[in-house]
Amino acid sequence: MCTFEEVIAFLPPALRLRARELPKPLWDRVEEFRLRAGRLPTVSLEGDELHLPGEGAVTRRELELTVELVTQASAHTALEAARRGYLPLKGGHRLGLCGSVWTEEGQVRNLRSLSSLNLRVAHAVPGCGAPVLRALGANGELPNTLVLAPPGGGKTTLLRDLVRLISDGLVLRPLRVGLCDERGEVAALWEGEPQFDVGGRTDILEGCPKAQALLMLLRAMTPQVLACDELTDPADLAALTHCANCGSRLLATVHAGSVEELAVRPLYRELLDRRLFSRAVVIRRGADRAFRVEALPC
Amino acid sequence: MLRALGALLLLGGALALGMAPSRELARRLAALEVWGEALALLERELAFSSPPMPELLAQLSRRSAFPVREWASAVLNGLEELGERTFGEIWRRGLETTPGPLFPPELEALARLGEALGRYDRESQLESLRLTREELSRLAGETRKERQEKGKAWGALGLSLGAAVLILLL
Repeated sequence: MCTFEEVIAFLPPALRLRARELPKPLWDRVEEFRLRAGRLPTVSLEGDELHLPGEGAVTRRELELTVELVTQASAHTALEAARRGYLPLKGGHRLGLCGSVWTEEGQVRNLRSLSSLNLRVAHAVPGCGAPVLRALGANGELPNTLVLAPPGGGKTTLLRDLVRLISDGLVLRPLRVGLCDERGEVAALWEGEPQFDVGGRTDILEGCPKAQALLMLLRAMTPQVLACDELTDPADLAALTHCANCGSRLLATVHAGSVEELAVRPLYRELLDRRLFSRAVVIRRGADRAFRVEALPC
Repeated sequence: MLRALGALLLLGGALALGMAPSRELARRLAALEVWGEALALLERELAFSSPPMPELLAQLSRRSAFPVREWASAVLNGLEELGERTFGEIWRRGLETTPGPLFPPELEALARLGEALGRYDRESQLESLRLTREELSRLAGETRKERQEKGKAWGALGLSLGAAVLILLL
């Protein structure tokens, strides 16, 4: 089954039929299905949103049917993930949820009256990291590396492929990788098995806050490389510093369009000041994503 | 001799007819008890391991007696229609199509439970299960009392009716 068919299986039959009416050349380029109550369903393609063929707006019933279908009527098992705003799906895809949130004692208790859903298609691009890794490891060693791009810029896709290449030794000598996959997007574990190829020497810790996961992996799995997605918390920096002092190589991603942008944000300024990373890979968004490797002050 | 046999058969038939509502109440009571046990099982499983709904239904179909066993199998098969029908609709259809001595009040209470299960967080589902179990327990209590109070009266009424017919025939 192709990825497009795999993803539209998460939609109610009526929407599935409309999705199938999209011209086939677009199938591989669809990034998201956007369902908003009372609005026409759309697909995201390279930043644009196109209406799905066919008549009729998305109904609230269709939103509810979609959530029931993907959770197999088991919201209670998926709610912890839903509290983070999305549900991880088989195949590494995910369903983002919006609606009226019911909170209790400051905690999100449940999501009622759904208003919109975002079915995000997971794309693995095997090989996209090879030229980057060749540039990074010109002297035969992997430097501590930050991957930079704005949201939706392809950081996770690149990180996933870099982890696979490093783990399998396809560019440099193979290294044991500990992967902190807090949001389950990089490896997308499903019943213990990664839905994406992240290499044969990769140990994955999913769902755990990065600061804790980094230290747990360091103690339990003695990784030669520690990889994590989206540094956002000062605690992450402290854990990374500890890991770097223990001799692990670091590979991480951050939301930023450039090194200059990184330098003006307090958290990332501190990251630069700590001189943990010596290289930055900047992803430029476009029809074909381009990578640029820059040296960081260290 | 033949007359006496006929009279006995008539009285026996009338007594059995009179006892029929009581037997129906006994079947309803037994079904309510099975449902009560099934809901208690659901509560325990949800509280301790929170398995997904297909697994919960599979457990019910394995570990429960008639009519819950048949109902759980029907709903489990019906999950293939998720996406076209809501879980609440599949649950309700299971209740409506599974043969069993359930009366409208318990059918309604169980159907309401199907609207809450699988949609909300564990605590809300446990609360719905507890409320439904209490409702079924209350209905079982009423049924038991009705059976005790009226069971013998129906039997006597049937026997009296038989006797009256017998007198008329004689």
